[in-house]
Amino acid sequence: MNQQRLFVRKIIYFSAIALLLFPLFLLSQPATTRSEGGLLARLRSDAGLTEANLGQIDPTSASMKLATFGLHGAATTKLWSNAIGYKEREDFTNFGATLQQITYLQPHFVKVWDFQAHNVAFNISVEFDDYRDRYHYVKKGLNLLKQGIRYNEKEPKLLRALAQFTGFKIGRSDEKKFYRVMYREDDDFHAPPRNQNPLADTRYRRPEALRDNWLVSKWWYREAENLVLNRLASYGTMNPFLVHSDPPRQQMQYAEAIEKDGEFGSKAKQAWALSSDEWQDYGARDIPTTLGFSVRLGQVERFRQLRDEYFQELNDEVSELRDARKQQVLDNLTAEELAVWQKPPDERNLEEITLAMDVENRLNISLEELVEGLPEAERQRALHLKERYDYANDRFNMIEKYRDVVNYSYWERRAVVEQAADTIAARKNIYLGKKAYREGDLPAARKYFEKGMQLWSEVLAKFPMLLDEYVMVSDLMTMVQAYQEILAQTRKDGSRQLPENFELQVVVDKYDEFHGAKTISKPALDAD
Amino acid sequence: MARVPRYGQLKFRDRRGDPKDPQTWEFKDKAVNIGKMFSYRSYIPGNTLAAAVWTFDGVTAENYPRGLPLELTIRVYRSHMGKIDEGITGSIVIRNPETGEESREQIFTGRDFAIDRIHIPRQLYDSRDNQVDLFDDLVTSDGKTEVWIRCLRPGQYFGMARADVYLSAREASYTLNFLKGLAGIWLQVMLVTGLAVLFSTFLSGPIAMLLTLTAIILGFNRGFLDHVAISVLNPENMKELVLTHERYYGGGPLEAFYRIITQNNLLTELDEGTLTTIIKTSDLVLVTCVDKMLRLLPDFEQFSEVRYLSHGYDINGHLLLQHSLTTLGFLLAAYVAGYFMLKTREMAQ
Repeated sequence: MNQQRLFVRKIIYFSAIALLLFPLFLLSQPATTRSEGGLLARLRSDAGLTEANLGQIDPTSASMKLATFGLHGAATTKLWSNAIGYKEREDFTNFGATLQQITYLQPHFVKVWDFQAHNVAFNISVEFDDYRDRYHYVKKGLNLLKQGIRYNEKEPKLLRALAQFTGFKIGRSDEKKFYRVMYREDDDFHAPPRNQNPLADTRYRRPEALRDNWLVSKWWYREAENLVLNRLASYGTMNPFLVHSDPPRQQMQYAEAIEKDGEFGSKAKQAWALSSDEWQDYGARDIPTTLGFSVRLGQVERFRQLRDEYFQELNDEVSELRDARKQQVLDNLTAEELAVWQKPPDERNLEEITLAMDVENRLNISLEELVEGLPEAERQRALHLKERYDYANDRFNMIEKYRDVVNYSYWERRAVVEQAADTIAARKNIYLGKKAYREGDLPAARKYFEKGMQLWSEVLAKFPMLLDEYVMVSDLMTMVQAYQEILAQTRKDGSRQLPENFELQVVVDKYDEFHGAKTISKPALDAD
Repeated sequence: MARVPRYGQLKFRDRRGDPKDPQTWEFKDKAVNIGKMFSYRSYIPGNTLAAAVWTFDGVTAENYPRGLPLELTIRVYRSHMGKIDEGITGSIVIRNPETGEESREQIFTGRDFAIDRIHIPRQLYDSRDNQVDLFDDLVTSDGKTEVWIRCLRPGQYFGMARADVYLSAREASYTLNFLKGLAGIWLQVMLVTGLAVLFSTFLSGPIAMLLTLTAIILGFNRGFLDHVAISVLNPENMKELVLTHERYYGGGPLEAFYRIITQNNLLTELDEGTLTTIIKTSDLVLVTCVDKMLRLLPDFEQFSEVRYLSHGYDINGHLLLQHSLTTLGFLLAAYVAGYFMLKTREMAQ
């Protein structure tokens, strides 16, 4: 190959490169304040996918992505592998540094933030023995989520993860007694200097005074809910019933928690009153269902009534036809079938049961069939009634189903009952009883428990429907078991036998009914 | 901070206080595995006779005139919650390995992920409240002593490895240590430069750069590649690696690629057939090449003096010297090889 051919070839290459620069420029020119940029930049902007649209911009992250020359997928895989290795080897300093690098490379991959924040707050924190060290790592996990929110401001899943971790990790873990206090008093976490605040310059400005973990959790759930309601984000794979039920549920968790902390004054009452109001608001909210229509959980009675009314009307329309069809079926039965059908059910053998079921199926004529069988003049009205019935029935079934998912009735009743003066007094006495027990004052503990249980019996007399809920019965049963422990320690014979005419015998019976046997386990009086 | 540690030898006693394994009749160098994949540390159960016993040499009054400065970085594992706001207590006993005389238990609280400094004074008491002298009574004439550590809480555990308890000989200069760390990095740079210059004697610039990059990647992942090579070349002799979770499944590069695209898991054997034979044979060739290349390349991972620096330990001068000599040897070999490559090239032109 001579020098001239080499030179010509180079000229061709450079010309091709220069020519290709034009379409490249048209395609990928970056947007500036003066220009909308190339085609890709405009498409990104229209779809709301520009960095500035998703959240705050991090120059370090952008530089790292550029520096990997398009190999950031491979780099990320290596970093994930390293992070797993560091975690296994308990090298949490390097683990943290690797995590930081992963988030630089994948700042908009929501699962990275969610997964790793959970990893730090739930898995790594428990590797430490001292609860203060544990809290430090829980906080790290929460801060990691905040960083994620900084770069993905309109991602409700991250907001909900932060809400969930704040609520459950701080308020439900074994260390909750310490965590809740530490969290409340943590100025570094709640009011960090601006340069250390991951949420500085974002849309999220939580009131600094809001420091109870359950209320903070509720605040974040509300923010996630608002993103959806303001159409800045969609429900995606989130269940709308949970998205809207979580804020009032956190309010109830708060009310429960402050009572466990020994707060029984107007603050507790107001907390429950607000819970009740918010739960009612939740019940009055239109929530989309998987069947394409929206329902309101608080309207169950309305739809039950409508369904029953339409059914009755429809039934009246088709009753004559039904009787006639039934008679027709009966007339066509063989002698054997008729004999089996007329036989009392408990006297039928296996074959006869199958035969009788077959006859029953034939006698059970569907509404659709009956409506279709009506004369033309009556059919139109019946069809109209059938439509109405289906409308009410579908909504009623859907509401019932979702009410079960969020245990709507229980929390509705509970929020009302907990506001009652008797309930608050009952809980206060039980709280004082547990406190006296821990301090070794058994006679006072017994006195407080007896007073508390007497008040509970009055509450249950007023609200007997509470006994239909296993959660409530189980909660009360724990109290009864604690009382038995106190009885055993204050009686000479150490007997745990409950006294005759025990006020809460109905709770014990109900508990046994739920469990199908007498299963009274040892109480945990030291808890809470 | 640049701690200069003096490490001892670690053996364990089991929960019955037995120093030897009843099957192998050897002193135990492992205790209980509490279920962690990372088996570097062994755990001793609390409120039993189980103990971790370190034997230190060179314990003399001249070396430690004010007593023994012990440093502990043990782990705590709770099999039940216990009292959350209270630490797990343990005891330390100093024992003369020849006479069996020992000090009274010194109680401490286990602090994991932290350095716990415990000073053992010269004047101690034994279990009968008699005063004993550390060096006269608890150290042998040739400067040996034992440190026994036990966990006192039932159901809870202390986790330890050899390097978790040591005598702090002194605090070295941080500046000097920092310079030693820099020297380690400089040696790595020299190795890379030497390699790049060697490659450039017989390859064009861009190819030499790519090959240098490959050599760096291979050199920095030597441990991993070694294990992959052993896993592919000698799968029958993998028993020990399986036990320590160091066996790599999934075969060599081609087999791994095939498994990825067919979404085949790592442990399933590939179906026998021509394709599998081709893949496995090609992998054998490829991995053998990588294995041979690894023998020629310097082990960059071993040159990380900076790790000691980042963990607050003094970089041992001998280690630095050893690495310097290795670098020098490698550079010399690269120089000679490069010289002949250039000579050959000149002759060819």
